[in-house]
Amino acid sequence: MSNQSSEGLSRREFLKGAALAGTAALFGIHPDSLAAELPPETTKLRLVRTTSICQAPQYIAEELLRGEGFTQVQYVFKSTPGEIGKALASGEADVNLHFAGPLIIGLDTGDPVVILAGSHIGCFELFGTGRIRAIRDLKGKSVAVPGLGSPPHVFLSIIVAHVGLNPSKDINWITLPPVDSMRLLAESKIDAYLGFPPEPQELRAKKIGHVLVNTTIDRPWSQYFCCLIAGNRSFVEKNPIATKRAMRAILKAADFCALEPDQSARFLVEKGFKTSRDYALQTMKEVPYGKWREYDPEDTVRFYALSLHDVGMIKTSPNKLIAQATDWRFLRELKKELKG
Amino acid sequence: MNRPTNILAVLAIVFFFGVALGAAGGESLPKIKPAPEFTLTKQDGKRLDLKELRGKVLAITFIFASCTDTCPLLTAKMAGIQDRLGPAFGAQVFFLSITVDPEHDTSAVLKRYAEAHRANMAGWAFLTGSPAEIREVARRYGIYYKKNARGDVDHTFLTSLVDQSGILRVQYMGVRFNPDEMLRDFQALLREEKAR
Repeated sequence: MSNQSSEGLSRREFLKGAALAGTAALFGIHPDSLAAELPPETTKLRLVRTTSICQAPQYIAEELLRGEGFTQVQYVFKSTPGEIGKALASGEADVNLHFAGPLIIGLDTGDPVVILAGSHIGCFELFGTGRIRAIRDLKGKSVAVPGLGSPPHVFLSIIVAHVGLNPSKDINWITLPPVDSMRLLAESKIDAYLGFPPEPQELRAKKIGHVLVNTTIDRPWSQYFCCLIAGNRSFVEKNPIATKRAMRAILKAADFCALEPDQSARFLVEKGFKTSRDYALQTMKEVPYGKWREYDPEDTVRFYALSLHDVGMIKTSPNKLIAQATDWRFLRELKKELKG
Repeated sequence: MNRPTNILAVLAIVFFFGVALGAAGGESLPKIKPAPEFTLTKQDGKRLDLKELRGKVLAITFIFASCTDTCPLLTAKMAGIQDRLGPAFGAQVFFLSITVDPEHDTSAVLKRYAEAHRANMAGWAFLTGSPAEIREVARRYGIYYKKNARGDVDHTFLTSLVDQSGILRVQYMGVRFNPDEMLRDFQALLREEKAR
């Protein structure tokens, strides 16, 4: 039964309005002050640019960030995605997408960084040579990573631990730049390699190795965000409006990647990312960039924190990390403001 | 109970009712910011100031007439919503479609586009302007657009709903949004006005 009268307010709406107005008045808030979002506290925003196009939304967001009032949008160049965490913690970058695992390891050691939202799920893929038919076959084998503690090393440690291997004892880690790792995988001189876009697209196109894990479709990895939006703690505390506006631009750009993969790929190539348009397009089509509303980023933090805790890579409990280093208020608001 | 305890109890009751009833009655749409003002040229060649539409709920979209893939889908979806709004369309709800290809989309071109998509121009205006005007409006509404090598315009699809007081309330990304949800948002904004 509806309690809405044909004219004017229903009893429920009246009570709700009166109660909210009363609450606002008691706290000295004028209704008009609730209405409009103010300009950002700062017009300068710094993000990181690496060779990985997994973080495509934040590159595509450049123009949208200007629309949000940022007149100075600066991209700090770093050679690998592994350097994103340090840039955020040091304040060299204000807001950025970063991989869940390394982000949580940084938080465990006290990085002044706040996780704000999820961006997209999946994205990295584990490739093996013909000798490797399943993850367990990696025991005693050589796996290339750009460095110990790098995003591929962190994620792969969790993946192998998930099937009962000890990442620090059972795997022969070899540190190599990605380009050399892919060459050695093609020559079967290493046994496995975990690639981030556009590397998986290139490996598949060149028929190098075969896919052991595709985190976009294989559970449990496909159930969690690969990349989260995070901010430097001091920046977020001092600039809440700027933080929300930056997130709005990045999340709009994530939707754009999902809705207009062709245009997004063209944009990335024009921006000088060293990838072919085909690989970029494939990445835009395969990575579920439009799912940021559907998945719960807190689940992602809990899942990866538990997994990292289990393999001894962090000491802090998931609940403590969530309590101390996440801030979902902007995401909650943006989910209501930005429908898809 | 002493006096401070009484005050705390009253505060708690008032707060509880606000939160509980807010949850039970469905939350109203957020108030994002005042919708950026603009004055552009309609399909009939006359200028339209956004302020003239104060008092109506607005849907503002960005399209271009020669677009052959996504824009027609968006315009068709909006035409479907136009029909479902019934007598409220025009009288209480108004659509604005702004071109992102002002060099090509003159008023005459937009008029043909509107007619081809059976837009009821009593409640729907198709707007163009100088490239500088369009660039500024697009920037302020958070639209990215760029002409590509083929001569098409790459752009974000974003539909903004603005309330009767000129406040931007919600934005819909892309063209795959649920038209029922948008219709519900229109109705919610119309009910808000009635409740004032």
